[in-house]
Amino acid sequence: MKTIITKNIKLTISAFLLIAGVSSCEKYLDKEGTELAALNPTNTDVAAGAWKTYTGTVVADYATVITTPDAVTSANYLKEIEEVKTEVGKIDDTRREAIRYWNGGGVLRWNQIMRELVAKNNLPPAENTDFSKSTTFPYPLPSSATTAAADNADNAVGTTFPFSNPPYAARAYAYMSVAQYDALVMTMALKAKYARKAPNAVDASITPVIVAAPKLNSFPSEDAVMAAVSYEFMKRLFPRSADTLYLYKKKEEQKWFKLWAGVSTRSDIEAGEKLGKAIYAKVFARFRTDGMANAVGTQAKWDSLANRITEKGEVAWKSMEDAPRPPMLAMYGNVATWNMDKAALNTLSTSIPPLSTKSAEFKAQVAEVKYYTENPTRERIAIVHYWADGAGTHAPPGHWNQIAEKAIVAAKMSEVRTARNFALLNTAMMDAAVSCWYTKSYYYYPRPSQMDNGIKTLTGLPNFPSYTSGHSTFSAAAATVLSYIFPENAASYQAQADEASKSRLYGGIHYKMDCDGGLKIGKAVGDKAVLRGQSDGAQ
Amino acid sequence: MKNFTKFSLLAMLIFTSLFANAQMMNDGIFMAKGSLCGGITYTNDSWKNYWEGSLYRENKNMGTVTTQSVALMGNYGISDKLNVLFSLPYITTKPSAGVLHGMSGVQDLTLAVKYRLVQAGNLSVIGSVGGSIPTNNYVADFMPFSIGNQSKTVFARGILYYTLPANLALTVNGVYTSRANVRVDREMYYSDKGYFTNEMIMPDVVNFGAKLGHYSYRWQLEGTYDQQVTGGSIDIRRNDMPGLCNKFDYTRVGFIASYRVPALKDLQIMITGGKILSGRNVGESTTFSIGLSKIVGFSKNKTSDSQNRLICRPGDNHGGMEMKKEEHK
Repeated sequence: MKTIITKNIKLTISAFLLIAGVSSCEKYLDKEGTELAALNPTNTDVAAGAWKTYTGTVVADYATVITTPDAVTSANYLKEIEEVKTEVGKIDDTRREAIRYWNGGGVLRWNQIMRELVAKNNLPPAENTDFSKSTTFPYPLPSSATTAAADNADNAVGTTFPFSNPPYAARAYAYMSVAQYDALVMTMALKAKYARKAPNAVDASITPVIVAAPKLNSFPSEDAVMAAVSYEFMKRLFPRSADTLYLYKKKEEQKWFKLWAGVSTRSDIEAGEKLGKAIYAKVFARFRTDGMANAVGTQAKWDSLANRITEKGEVAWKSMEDAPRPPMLAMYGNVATWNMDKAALNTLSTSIPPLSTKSAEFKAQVAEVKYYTENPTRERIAIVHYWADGAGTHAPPGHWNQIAEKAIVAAKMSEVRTARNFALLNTAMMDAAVSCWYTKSYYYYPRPSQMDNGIKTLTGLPNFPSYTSGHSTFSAAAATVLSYIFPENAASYQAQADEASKSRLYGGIHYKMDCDGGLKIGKAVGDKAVLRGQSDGAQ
Repeated sequence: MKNFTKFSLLAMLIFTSLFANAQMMNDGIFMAKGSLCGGITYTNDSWKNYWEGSLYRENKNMGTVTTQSVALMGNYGISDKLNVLFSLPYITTKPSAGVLHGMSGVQDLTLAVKYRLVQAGNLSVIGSVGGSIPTNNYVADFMPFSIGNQSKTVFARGILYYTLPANLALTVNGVYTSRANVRVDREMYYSDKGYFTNEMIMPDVVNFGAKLGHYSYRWQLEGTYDQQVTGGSIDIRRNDMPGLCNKFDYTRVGFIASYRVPALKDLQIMITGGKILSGRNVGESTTFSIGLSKIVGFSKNKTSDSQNRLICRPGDNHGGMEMKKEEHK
């Protein structure tokens, strides 16, 4: 018996140690993909204040917002220097973490935050089970489809709840990038105009914490500008209170981190915040009137899109979901464009008609889709899933921002050039989205699974018409713009766009003609963004 | 051979530690020295309703999700108190509604050793360690249709086996499974926050189980209870698809019944059934399985009581499969 007890004790102890050992293994990832080294641009783009803005805004617009700052010899400024020293003395781990985080680059950080919130809010609403609330629609709809538009004056789609699907996301990325770019161009112009040095350059007893001594003038603070303009826009795009609180925390960090680090003063920062808010207001004026308010559509409009097609004797798209879901932002094709004239975009969008569903060629395309779904290879499934960027992700435009981020980081670009390149990329992708959605609603083409219910898809079937492929259009536009910015990577971007396009055929959710049409139109849309890039002064 | 069908029963559940609870691996029975039990089991598991986090719902765009598997298992007695075990399932999944594609393929190979540490009267104290490894690069990140989670695992299990009069026995087991992170096909996902990598954290899993009932060489009828608790706190978000790093928890009850057919040289036929009573991020599944297995004795040291020497139930001194106590000290 004694032996048994001894053995039991040994067993218990060893079992306990084993379990404790295993469970104490902290779970972590090699990388979360958000790691950024300290931003140390190879070129500060000191002349960027002359670059062309999207809103046409010029420095004179802010004459009353940003007035001449106090001289660095003034009593006021000396008080600010004392505050800088006090704040530098308060450095702690929380502040160090914030400084390191934002020191990776403000535009890159906001782009990551944006992609995270797009992913978070990219979930289709669940079917209404509470029919006391809605008897008209099986699903709750973003606010513009409801009659109660009162709460909806500012951001037509997304106030009731944001659903950051691909077109919503494309617009969100575009406006954020444009607002940041215009804000940073104005910041650079004002920095040149007022030429105020950073506090550590004024008072040599201040040693910057973590950050490098700034190469740019200090007034107004580019970080405070970015914090304000980004926060103001993103809380419109993602109005859920948890998201707003998260954004507020980020905004406050970016606004103050260079004061904590000893390289900005309070007046640099306060001027930056004022400028950021003023530029936000300018870009927001366009945002609220760009046609998004009507993008959801109404039952009558959806019916009319379908009737146009059936009257021609063709098959109209219908939702394959149970219960049938209204098409995603069916009127998004009417939203204002960035780099090309809307009428020209409409003409382009309808320039390549799809095959008749009655044709033999069409039947061959259906058979091709079916072949891929019935004979999936592991390699093709990997391609489908790599490019799916569906619900719960940063959407295809987010994926191309992720691709762009790598090249931008490698090229060590200045904040303003980073913003410029994201703006070119994201306005091109929003134009691509508008074009593609115009095409989709125009042809209202059925998905492969609607034409052959034996086609089972390897990724989620998007709830909107088939022709053309959104992924193909986004990707061709993005690859075109990125190839212009990073010509050394052009072959790789082109190959990635082709793969993204094919992934939709392999996944069983698009015909080959959808992919081919999307690539062609996307390329043409991207070319227009390149034209802008060639004449914006940043060459 | 006993209850190994529980392997595939678990394989049916949504991507938990699929074989950690495998029946052979979590019971008190050992193959006697030189005996090999081999078997094949078909399992059918289906669910219509599931828990999205704690929200109980259906999904009309999947209908009923059915998972079927055919699993091979083996259990060999190195000695009466040291056994090695393996399992390898082929799994196929399919939804009854909607347009999504099911998946199929060979899943993970599980290997374990089981050792009886202590025999105190009617009580066996058993320890087991093992692990599993994916046999191929099957798709993991396509839940609920993927056939497994691609995680390499190691587990440590403790089993208490208590024999009662009239061929009744009580088995209690607990297992901790440590799961390695996995790499998926995409480079962005959102779980508790946004990640821009193809690596996913796999929380560890704890399983507890108990069963009580009749066991004799010829017949078996037991009631089972299982509970799984997965680490972390990540739920399926509202109207999202499940993700690999979700917290998959459940409580399930079931039964095991088997008979060795004398006319078929004691081929064992086993059926099991199970039902999930409550859960989190799992389907409310109902599972049935049928398995065939056969024990082959390789021991040169045959006794006259050969059928009873094929399996080994320490502490069983209530008749039926009486064992000589000194053999199991």
